[in-house]
Amino acid sequence: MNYTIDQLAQLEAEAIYVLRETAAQFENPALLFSGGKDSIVMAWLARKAFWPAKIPFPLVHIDTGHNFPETMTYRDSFVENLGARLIVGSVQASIDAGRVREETGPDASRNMLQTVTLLDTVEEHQYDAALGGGRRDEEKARAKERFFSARDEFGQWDPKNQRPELWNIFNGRKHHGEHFRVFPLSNWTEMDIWMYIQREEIELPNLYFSHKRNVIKRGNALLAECKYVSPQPGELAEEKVVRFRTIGDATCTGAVESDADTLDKIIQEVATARQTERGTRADDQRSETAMEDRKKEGYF
Amino acid sequence: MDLLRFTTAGSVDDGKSTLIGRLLYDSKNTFEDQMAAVEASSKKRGDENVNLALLTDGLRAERE
Ligand SMILES: Nc1nc2c(ncn2[C@@H]2O[C@H](COP(=O)(O)OP(=O)(O)O)[C@@H](O)[C@H]2O)c(=O)[nH]1
Ligand SMILES: [Mg+2]
Repeated sequence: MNYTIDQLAQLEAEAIYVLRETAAQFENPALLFSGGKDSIVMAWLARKAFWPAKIPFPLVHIDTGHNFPETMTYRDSFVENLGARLIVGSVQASIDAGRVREETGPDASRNMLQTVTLLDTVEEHQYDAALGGGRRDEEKARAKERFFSARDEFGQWDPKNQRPELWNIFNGRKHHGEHFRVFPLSNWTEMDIWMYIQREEIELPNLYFSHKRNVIKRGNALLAECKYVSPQPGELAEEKVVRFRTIGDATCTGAVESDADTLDKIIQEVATARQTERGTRADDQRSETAMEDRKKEGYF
Repeated sequence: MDLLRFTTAGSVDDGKSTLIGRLLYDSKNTFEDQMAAVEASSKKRGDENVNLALLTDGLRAERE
């Protein structure tokens, strides 16, 4: 008999294998949940991986306090439908405790501050593995990171000290105080995520679908006007028809002009896109190795 | 669309990254913002032409 499975089913099987391997090899894993499409898909896969049992680890949201309200509403109902446990690490609490200092100026963002909150949350709950939704096409540093990514006792990544991953053998051995980042979606692309969302009929935050919104053009990015982003001198907030290709902190996630208001139209748009989705992320454009440098400090 | 898996093996500086970069470029698998970033880095490093190896060589150690 000729048994073949298509690309999406292969990716799904691989991710489920990695999720189960994480549950098997670590004592206290957690799934990092941002409310974006990648972590939604990852949580969806986790439910499948352990069904009919509940997901055997909590979802952890590192909350910058500058999220879109739609993300927060979605998060709470998604977690409830999943029957999962939610742990929130608050960047605001890190600021109040004096662990980090808030950036100032028009480009101020809490994106960098998340690293400290993340590492503090990992330490507080003694997580020994943190599952992340990083994908290969997202950023060049992410493409070079393993499924099982060892972090030292300070949470730092050393790209020159990565473990070989032969066939389906993953090595999660670690010293006391170290932890792992695990990336079940390592081999997925933006297109795979959208095709999978369509196939599985996964509900998404409506930010991903085309809608009218007041936006401010800053650099290459169209930032949504909101409590945390207002026009600077010389800038103008204008109503446009937009959607978001990625969802993160409202201060650094740009919208794209688009009339794609259904999954079919989004898939069509992604197929013909001339820019990567991170082309709209102000945080990646700070330097050419911005992501690697943040990862070395312990970022997602 | 079928997926093509492609592997290179060779010594340091044999041209693995350049070859992969060129294949990505010729098969139109690069995005405008990626090409813009590669062009800017090439210029900054003083490369005469656009260095397509920079499409895959993302890490600091690989750019040294
Ligand atoms: N003359 C020549 N030089 C090449 C060719 N391919 C790569 N190079 C050069 O060889 C050097 C190393 O290439 P690179 O792709 O970084 O090698 P890698 O270490 O195997 O990834 C660079 O200076 C390239 O410009 C080629 O086909 N002909
Ligand atoms: Mg190379």
